[in-house]
Amino acid sequence: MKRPGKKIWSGWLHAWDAFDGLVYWYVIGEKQKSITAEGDAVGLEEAIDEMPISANVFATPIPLLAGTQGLNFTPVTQHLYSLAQAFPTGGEISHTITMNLHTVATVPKDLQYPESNEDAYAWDEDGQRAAVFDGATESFAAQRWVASTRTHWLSGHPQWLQQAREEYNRDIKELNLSWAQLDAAERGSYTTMVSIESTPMGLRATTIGDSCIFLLEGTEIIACDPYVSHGEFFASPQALSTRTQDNLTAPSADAEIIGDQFLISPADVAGRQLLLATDALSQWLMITNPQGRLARLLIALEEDDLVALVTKERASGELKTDDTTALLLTVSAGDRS
Amino acid sequence: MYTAEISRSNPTAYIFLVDQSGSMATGMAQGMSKAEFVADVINKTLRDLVVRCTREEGVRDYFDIAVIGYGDKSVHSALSGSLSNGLMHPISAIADGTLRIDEREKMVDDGDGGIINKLVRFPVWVEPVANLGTPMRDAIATTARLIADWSQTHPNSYPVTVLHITDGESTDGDPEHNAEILRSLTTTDGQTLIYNLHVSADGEEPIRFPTSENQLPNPYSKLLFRMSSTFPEHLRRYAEEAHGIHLSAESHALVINADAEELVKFIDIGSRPAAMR
Repeated sequence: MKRPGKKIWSGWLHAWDAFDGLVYWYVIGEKQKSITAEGDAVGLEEAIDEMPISANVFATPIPLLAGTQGLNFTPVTQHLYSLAQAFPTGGEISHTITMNLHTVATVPKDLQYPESNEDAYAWDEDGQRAAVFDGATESFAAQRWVASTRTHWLSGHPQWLQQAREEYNRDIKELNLSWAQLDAAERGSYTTMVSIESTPMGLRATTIGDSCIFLLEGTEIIACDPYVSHGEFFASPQALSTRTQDNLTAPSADAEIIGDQFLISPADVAGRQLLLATDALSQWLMITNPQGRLARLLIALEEDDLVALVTKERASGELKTDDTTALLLTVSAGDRS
Repeated sequence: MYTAEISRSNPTAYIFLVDQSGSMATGMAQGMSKAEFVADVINKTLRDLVVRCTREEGVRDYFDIAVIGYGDKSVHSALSGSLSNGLMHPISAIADGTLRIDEREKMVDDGDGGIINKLVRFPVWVEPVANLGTPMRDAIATTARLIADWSQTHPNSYPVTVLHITDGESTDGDPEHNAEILRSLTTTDGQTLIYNLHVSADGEEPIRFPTSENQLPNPYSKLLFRMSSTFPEHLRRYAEEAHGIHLSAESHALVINADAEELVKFIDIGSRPAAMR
């Protein structure tokens, strides 16, 4: 998501207190300075103003999820968290929630060409991280790009997106391309992403594009992001691109800000389930009373027969014909307040 | 209607129907003849359709393509070489069937705020032809037979789109009845779409996308109106977003006295596919 902001340093990241419905976070540089202003808007602005002008400081608001009809995550308040992985946070994990992979399944859009599935998923049990990727059909090499982003995202390197792009571009250059492929390669490749990662302060969700994350309790959708309704799905969502200029937050920015990120408090998620799904399935679930559809999905995943459900729903016109992926996590332990 | 997703299992088809009569030799504003300009636009459109279907693994057959020329009392494929057998070809065959690949200079952004001249590839399939009569009635009959066969083997596909470019009246009889038959051909997703563009070098004011015959000045243009389809909703939306052209549900796919710029816009709107999967 492109967000204008005052560019600060890169490095450490601290979240500020919530105010006006927004949590401001900013990255503090390699000099390990920290901002200790009080938790209000004026205090934050004064603290930022005190920083040297020449420093690259980036302050970006992360909007708290505010849905409709009760579909919203609990606003995060008083949370400190670190997003910069170049500088280890140190300290002890302050929560005991654990994610477990319950099931994952994927169905290609064209069952006659299963090898053309452009979705992918990733699960890192030790690192407690999961992600789902949806390569855009219009891409020149969607599968190659999805594979690169998946591999480098799993590495956890702070410049994983840049590394994925370098790998993709290096590999494309080595191909022997026809005139049409040379022209087509210029349009680049794209993928959406939704991920969930355990951090010391809670679960960090990242969304870019129209792949969605759902918080489930039984057959009830407690919250979802980035969309909350059927009509929000666009033909061309945002995506991670192989072209550098597509990922930048501002024309001259050096930093690539990866999507929308927000924290899920341990209290909100312990004992519940998280579903990561690509757009067709996500849109299918976003009806006024999704309980029946969610139940059918959970049964299909339990029975390892997502294909049957997807085939039936496509035939009736209820589910868009597209690569369809669902990754279901159970979240255990931790006290719920 | 007109919502079928386009895939390799369910491709759609584009038919370019091109007047190659003698009057197409008349010059247009850019110093090219109408035939040369039309050939250029069709070549560029074919290139764009090929590139749109091209992936790392090759060209995906999302489209079947025909380019039908008519003139000198004959109706024939305007493609040659490996594409000279039969009228309809999958887009992958079009990609492999260029006559040649020219290089042309194009002004492009240099990424640094400036503009530079860059040599770009310009594949050529269609050569400009301008030769005697205008057997439009026979051309539309041939096209209708082609669509009838295609629709039978692709019953659930997005309907065929015909892009008809002409500069004059039929010399082999009234084509209207054949056009009615052509438009009546359907898939489960809707009727065949036929877009008519009358190209002119006379400098007369264009008449774009009329909603009623009353907006047209003569029997010939009224005939073309009756032969033209209206636009599906996704194309009305595209025309607005890409070209700032507002189309209503009653707007007919017809431009009279189109100049070079109108030709380019018309072909772009008409060849814009719905969602590809």
